[in-house]
Amino acid sequence: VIGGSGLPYHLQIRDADQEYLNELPLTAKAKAKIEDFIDYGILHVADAFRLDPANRPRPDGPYFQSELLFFDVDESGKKSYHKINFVINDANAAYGVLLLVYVDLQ
Amino acid sequence: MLCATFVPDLALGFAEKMSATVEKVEEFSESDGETAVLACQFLQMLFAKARNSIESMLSEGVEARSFVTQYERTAAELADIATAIEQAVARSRSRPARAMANAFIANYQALGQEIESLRQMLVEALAKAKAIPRPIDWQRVQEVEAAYQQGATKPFQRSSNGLKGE
Repeated sequence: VIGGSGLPYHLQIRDADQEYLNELPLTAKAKAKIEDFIDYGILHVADAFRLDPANRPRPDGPYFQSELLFFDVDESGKKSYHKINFVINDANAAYGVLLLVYVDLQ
Repeated sequence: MLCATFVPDLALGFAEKMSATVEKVEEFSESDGETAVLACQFLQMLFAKARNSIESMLSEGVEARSFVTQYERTAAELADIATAIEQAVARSRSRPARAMANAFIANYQALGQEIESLRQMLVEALAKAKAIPRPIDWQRVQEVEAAYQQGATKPFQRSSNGLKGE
């Protein structure tokens, strides 16, 4: 069994969601920070966070969500705040597998 | 590592003491005035450090709900202190004071501007953090789950240079 014990989960992702992440209208640095977040906030998510009812959008559903807040600075120096919402299916968390089912940048 | 609110908390504590001190500005000796000016400058540096620290954290990215939990109270306290400083400066301007006391008031006002700058930055970030997310598209969720069942998903793999950049 992997994941939840300090070992990272495996995250499954659909091509369309990978493309969505690739094409976000952000700087390369901001996109790298999103990857960092996927690494530490999802692949290494703590059970305490994942199982916290406040982070589960459907009380009886196999999902948790995590929102990353960050700011991006474009080439002209303009600073803008963003929030990206990830929803993850953790039905197979016991086997170390998570599934990215929804991602939305605001 | 110190907790994320250490510098703001420290600066707030000092600033509250300063607010009580400014009411006695007419009683300041030359030495008191010099000390108060130095204290203002130190506080201003602390708030600037707090601002840099929070900006650095936000540029790295932070879980939104955790950010709200950590900084919502700080933003409210900064608002109270900024208002108190503004009012104290207005009152002191209407009273005659020694030159050193005037120097103190000018530095105290600059401190208030630094605090207000930090507060505005926090308010903007908190507004984004607390913005209600768009409703989850459960139809899309079901489509992804069906794709997973059909073996049409792939393991997420970090690219060497981050996500494909611009």
